[in-house]
Amino acid sequence: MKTLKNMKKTVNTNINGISFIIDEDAYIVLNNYLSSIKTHFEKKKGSEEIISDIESRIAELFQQMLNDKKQVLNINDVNKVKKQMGQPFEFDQDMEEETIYEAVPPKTHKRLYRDISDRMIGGVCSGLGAYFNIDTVWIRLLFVIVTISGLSPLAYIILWIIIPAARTVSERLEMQGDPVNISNIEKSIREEMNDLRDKFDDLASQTREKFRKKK
Amino acid sequence: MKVERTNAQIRKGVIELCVLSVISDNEVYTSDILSAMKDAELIVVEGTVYPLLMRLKNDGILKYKWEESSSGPPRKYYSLTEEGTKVLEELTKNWLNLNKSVNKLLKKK
Repeated sequence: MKTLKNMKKTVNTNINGISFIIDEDAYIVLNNYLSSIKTHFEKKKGSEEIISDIESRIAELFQQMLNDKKQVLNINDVNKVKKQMGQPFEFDQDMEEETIYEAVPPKTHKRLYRDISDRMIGGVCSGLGAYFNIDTVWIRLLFVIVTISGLSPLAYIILWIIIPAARTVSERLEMQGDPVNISNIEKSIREEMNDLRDKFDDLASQTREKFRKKK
Repeated sequence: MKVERTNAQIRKGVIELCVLSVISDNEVYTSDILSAMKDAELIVVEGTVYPLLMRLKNDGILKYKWEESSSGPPRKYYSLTEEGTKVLEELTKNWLNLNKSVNKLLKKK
């Protein structure tokens, strides 16, 4: 399905009692940001209140961005607010220096997808372009040269088959590279550990089952 | 990198003094605190102020009350408690002394 260029899916969201219409991709980014703030303050005294104060400030900033001509919040608005408020690791005054200064700048967690919204054939080149951060034109040119110079277009076809297409919004964000912050990393490690534990549990119960049958 | 760390340490205590000083003027709304601090280039990101306000409130230095607003939900207005006023006096005195000593020392060189 091809989406029209000026048509985007929006979400209706409520921030601190005020309702906003927001683009779907912007909503995902905002949601990640808010949950990273929540995780950051989780175990602190008065965390609920800090979070709701920050949310109400965000709502206030959003309100200032909207007017009669602009009714929908987009990803730029969200990024602007994020920049103004700062990342959770920058929030604490009383934290140890290491965490302030050795906190690595947000890394880019990327995955290779085919960009089917910007494609000539299968979106392989545009996907590679997004992944390596190179203008798609150069990659297309390379493929054309490779094909003309005698090699078969097999390389393209193989890539077409093995690279998945970015269909959902979150896949598109992954394709473009979503910044990962400390709490995200922590979360993904925790998820990974849980996965691993589940697998072991499965294995253990399967083994038990086998032994029982043997008896 | 090292300079930044020292600068941050210097700023840390001063920020608290300045927030209290901004609040001492009147009952102030959070956004006013934020813009005063940003204008003075004492903070870069707004998020830093919220945990600080919370700590000062928990320590009994600040209090706030809710006030209705015409353009949105009710707003928090901060003011100093009696203890807060004393703390601010003490901090200001200390800052002025420190400032004097440091300047004197720096001028000698």
